[in-house]
Amino acid sequence: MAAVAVLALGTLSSCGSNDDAAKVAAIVVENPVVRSIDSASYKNEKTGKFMTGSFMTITNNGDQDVTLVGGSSPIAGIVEIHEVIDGMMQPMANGLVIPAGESVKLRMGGYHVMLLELDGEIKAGEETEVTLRFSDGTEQTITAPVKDIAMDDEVYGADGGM
Amino acid sequence: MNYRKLAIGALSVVVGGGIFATATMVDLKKDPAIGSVVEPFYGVHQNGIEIDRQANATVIAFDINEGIDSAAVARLMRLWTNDSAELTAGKPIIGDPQIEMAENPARLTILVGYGYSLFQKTGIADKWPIAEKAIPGYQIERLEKRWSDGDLVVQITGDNPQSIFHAALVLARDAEPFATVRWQQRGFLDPAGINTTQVSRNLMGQLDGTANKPIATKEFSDITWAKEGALKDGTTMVVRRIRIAVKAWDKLSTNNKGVALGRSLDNGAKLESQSASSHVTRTFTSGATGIMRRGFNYDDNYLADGTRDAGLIFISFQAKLKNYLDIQAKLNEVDDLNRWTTPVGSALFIVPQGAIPGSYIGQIFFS
Repeated sequence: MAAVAVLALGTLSSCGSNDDAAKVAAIVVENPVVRSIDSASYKNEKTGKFMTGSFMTITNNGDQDVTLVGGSSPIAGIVEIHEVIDGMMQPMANGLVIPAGESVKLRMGGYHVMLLELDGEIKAGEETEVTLRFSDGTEQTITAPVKDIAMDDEVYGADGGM
Repeated sequence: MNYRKLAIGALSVVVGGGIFATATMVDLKKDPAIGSVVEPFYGVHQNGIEIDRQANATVIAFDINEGIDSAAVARLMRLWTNDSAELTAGKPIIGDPQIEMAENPARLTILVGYGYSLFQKTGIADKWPIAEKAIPGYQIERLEKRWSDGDLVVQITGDNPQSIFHAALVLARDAEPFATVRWQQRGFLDPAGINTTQVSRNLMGQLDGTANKPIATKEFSDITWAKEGALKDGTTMVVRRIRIAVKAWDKLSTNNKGVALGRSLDNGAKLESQSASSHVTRTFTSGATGIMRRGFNYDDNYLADGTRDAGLIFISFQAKLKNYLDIQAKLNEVDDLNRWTTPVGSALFIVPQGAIPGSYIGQIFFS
């Protein structure tokens, strides 16, 4: 898995007891993808900017909950964490909790990382970087392939859900 | 390997159930053991070669699209590596709109190989790791372009045609920006559960694969896996589509069928007086000069002239391609079976070493 990134949580390893490294919690991001954008994709008519979603599996191997609070990407002006409720996408103000010892799937029609304010198209076959920011202040950067992904079960808001 | 033991265990359970069922009544209860058995994806070698017999195969050759360079091939390999690791584990890939289709992998394996044309087109011909670039033409062939060659090959094998179909769909979907399907061939053998041996009958009724070395032996490794260079722990792969004149063969007596083959049809035993031109005599090899055969039967539509398009997808793996070429040259000279068999497709690929988590298939060539 080329895109697996393992991040030791600095806060846990640097404070508290000096236990061996095996106890250090780790967030593992697997199989990230970014949905491609073409001229048929949603475009904010006011700003002329595009938007798209990124999906992945995030596993928290630590013994404390960690929250995915936001992120950044060289291709996007804004990165937010979103969920879909009753087919309508909306930002998660408090972020997405990754419970200790569990995996959370970010997928179409569910939780996802929203990339907003993209200047141009990104095409299937390319790769792009996405940096995820967690509640403990740590970040990790993943390289995600861009894919064409069917997505008919969620609706962007009238103003693009922003 | 634990997985392998699990697979063998699962199969023996089915045999027991089958015997019981015939003695009492037909029992169509689902056996969850077959569907849920998972083969490892990551490993020194790509899986799908040194493995207990699998019942079904889909082999797809792709040609890369205009403008695809070596870096783009690396991106495709990263995609396919991730996809394959998930699919073979029975998990849907992220973004798959048909997640239910990934259930019941049933020993699904996926392996990837490359043709010389891929190295040529992407400007890395100097990295091609073997001397031979193609299989030479033989008089006995009637090759058709639609079954021959290709830049990339994917061999998808397992015991569940459904999960194989789905894997083929996913891999071809993710390949779209990079490559276009050139040909696809589907093959089959006895299903898991009704045949737990390593050999199966081809469409001529012959037991196929009797000369293969047992897996997990030094003999198997010596014949199959390259030991040095960029192809280390990989191998060469020959895919031949052999059309069988099933109608004419069907009219031959059992005795004459055996004479042409050089073995008894029912149990595969060598005939006491084997003809010098019989198939088995012509293909006999000793020591590490052999090949690892993996044939699958195919039975497709009738051709325009009324011929039934049925036969054998001959797949062989060999550390040294010369071992295959020597056998093929002998068959081209004389083989009693040539009267009923015609090669209509031919392709040569190299199969790189396996991937480990964090790496991807073919990294040694395309990074």
